[in-house]
Amino acid sequence: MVNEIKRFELSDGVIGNFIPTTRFKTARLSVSFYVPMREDTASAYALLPFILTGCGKEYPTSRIISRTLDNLYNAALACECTKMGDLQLLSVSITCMENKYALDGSDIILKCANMLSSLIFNPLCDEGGFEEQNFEKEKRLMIERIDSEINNKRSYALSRCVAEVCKGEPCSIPRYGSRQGQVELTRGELYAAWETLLRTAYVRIGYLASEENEKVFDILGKAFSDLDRKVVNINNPIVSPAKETVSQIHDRMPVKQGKLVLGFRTNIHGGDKDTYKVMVTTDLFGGGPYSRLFDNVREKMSLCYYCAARANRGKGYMTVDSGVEFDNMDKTHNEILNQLDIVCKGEFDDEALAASKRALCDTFRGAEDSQPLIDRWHADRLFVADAPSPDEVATLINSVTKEDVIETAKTFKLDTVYRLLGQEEK
Amino acid sequence: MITEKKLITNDRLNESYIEAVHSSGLKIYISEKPEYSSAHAIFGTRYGSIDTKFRLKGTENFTDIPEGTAHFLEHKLFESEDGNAFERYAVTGAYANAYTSFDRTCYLFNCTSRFEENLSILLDFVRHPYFTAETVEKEQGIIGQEIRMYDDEAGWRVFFNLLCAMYSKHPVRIDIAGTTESIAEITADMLFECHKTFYNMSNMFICVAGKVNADEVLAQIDREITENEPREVIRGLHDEPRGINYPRAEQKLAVAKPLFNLGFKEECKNPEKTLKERIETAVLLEIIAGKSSALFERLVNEGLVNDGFGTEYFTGFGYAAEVFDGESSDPEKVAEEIKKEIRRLRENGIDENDFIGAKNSLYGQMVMQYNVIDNVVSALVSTAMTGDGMFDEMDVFEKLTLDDITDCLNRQLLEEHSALSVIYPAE
Repeated sequence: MVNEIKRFELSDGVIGNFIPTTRFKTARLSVSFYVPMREDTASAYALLPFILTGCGKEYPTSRIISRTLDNLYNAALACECTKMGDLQLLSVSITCMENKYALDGSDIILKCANMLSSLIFNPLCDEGGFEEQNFEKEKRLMIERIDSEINNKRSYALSRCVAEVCKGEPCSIPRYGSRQGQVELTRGELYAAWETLLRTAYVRIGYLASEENEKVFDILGKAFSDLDRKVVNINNPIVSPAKETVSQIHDRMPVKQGKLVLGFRTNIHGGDKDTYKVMVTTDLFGGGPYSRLFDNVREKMSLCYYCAARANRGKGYMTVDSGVEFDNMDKTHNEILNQLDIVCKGEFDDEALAASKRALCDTFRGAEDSQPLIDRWHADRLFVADAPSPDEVATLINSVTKEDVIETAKTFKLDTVYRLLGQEEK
Repeated sequence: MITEKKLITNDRLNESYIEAVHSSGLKIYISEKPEYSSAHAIFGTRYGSIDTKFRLKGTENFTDIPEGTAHFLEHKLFESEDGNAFERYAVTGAYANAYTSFDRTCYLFNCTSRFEENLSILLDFVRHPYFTAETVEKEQGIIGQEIRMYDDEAGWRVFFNLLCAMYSKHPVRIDIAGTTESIAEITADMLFECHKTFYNMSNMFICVAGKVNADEVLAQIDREITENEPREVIRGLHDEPRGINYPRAEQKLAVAKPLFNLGFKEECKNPEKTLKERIETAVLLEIIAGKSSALFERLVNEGLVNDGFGTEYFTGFGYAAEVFDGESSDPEKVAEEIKKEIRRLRENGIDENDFIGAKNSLYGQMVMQYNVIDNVVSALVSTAMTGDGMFDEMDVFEKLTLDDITDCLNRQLLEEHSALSVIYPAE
């Protein structure tokens, strides 16, 4: 029997998703929770995946969890809190060896499914909420995680620019909520957030393995069907036009290299096929080493080591970021806009467009070789009706014409310029 | 001509690869994985940032070159007289890149179609240098910005500051990209000379994994690689003393919390550590400070480290050190706790269960690496660099005993050879 991708509703708002993957030595099981990004819930929700995978009633310390995983042949328990448009996406996953590689013939996959279920539904709590010592530990780790985002200057600069572009929209809320929100969070509030999450979040249970295994879905799905669930509404992301006046913002830090980020808005967004035009246009403009930005800002003008464009198609924005000498910031800024102008005028050859399409298609097809990427592909498209397969995406990409690129580039309007400066620069 | 073709298999993993040598001296490693969609290839040379001093076998005098030359050459090889290699890859859609580390330079591509064309591009541009004074100067600007970028990266700085504290002579202490000053000394002639020396086929290797047919790949390499007179490069030794350079390094950068690296410098009687030594040390570090260790649990519970705390056995030609790294508001205290735990283990012995747990965990990691094609290619590159077979680690692993680890603990991680590097938040 040939295994096929399956998607089925396990209970109200709980989707089971089996994806056959025969090429890997591992099986992967993930549970993702989709909730609207909101200031009053973001901090508590962000902490949940971490505290749930840190310990549990059956596994009272992180050392016990870790040792249990070691003895399941290095099964990897992971958690994540990310943003998807205006949603907060919380996920916990476990990746383990397929049973046939076990030295002792044990059913590793079922043991992992039971462990994951126990961690999600049976946390270490007392009458006051999550157990105090562990709660305080996870809270401290989260605050440190937030604080250390400043250490990576490139991603810090990018997130500062995006928050300004999307000001006032849910997605401008940091993925872990605010530092203050974490500081003020109590263990009782966190417990309430956990109960609300299980009852109201839209849930996807992903299972990637060589063989389908109903027991895996039974173990995780049953616990949800026992709850009195009332699933929260998931709305389409808000998309706004560019601001009338370009926002100019900056930070100062004792750094040797400046960071320049330009944030653009486009009116093309959502799950429709026009978004693939945005993907191709962005790539031709500043994707790979064949792009306008790499070829000109880096190679010809020698201004930087990286200058890259990236689009968030769901939210309808695009960013260009670069690390440059402070004195070269204006020059770089002008050249980026000049290159966009060149794309708008169609002054690029057909080969550049063909190169972008080939590179994008190659990347999509290559994603089939990574279990986490396959899982993420399906998790990202949970709300897209008739989501295209990677092959269909390749067809959509290949159908983008030079005129499409020109028209799409014309929709990119500069919204925000962010600069990370040294202490003394003007 | 392809000689010495061998198929090497491992039944438990259900994995295999082909090892062969071209008559030019080029070593070839191929792992067919027909069930995958993509293929990955690396064309590499045993030439990295530490090779600032070398001679050819048969000559007497050592040549000194500026720091950062290997990395500079890596950047420049992408260019040819009629455009750059990226433009050629743009025609096939492959993803291409390169990297330079301490002891090697590797050129790679990843593709889901047109493998043969991509391999042709790779085999061609890496072997055909083209530099002019003008293109060298242009690259000095780009690499200058790359160096600046790393100057602000605390995780990178804390590590190189540690290397400077531990090593006084060995070029491992110098940043891979060199310095703005050292790369200013690089000339086109120098690059040609280094290319002739280190990019001789007898100093190089090709590793391929994924959706490929090994026989076709071998035939293509045989067609495209020309013979060359083998050149044996002798790496210069640097009279590195046994002791550390200084015990403490500090710097201030824009970070939220102090970052630290605690290193224990090991003796290198032979320039390179054996596979057994490397695996024993990895298991030992997992026992001392892995996620399942008592030490890690205690440090986290006491608020001294966070989940970024980790260890590495950093080793290559003429250098070896265990490194503990993390973020902490009190790095001194963490360093003291690590040393205390090492003393405690020496006195009380290693718990059998901790040994088994660490062994299982590392065994799982070894099996799982075969999931990802890139990792298989990396494992083949290690095979090319060390001469150990890709599956040898499984054999060493199975035979490993608690006594081996205890011996390792008594021999290594000596406090008098340790150094601490800290990056403090700038005001």
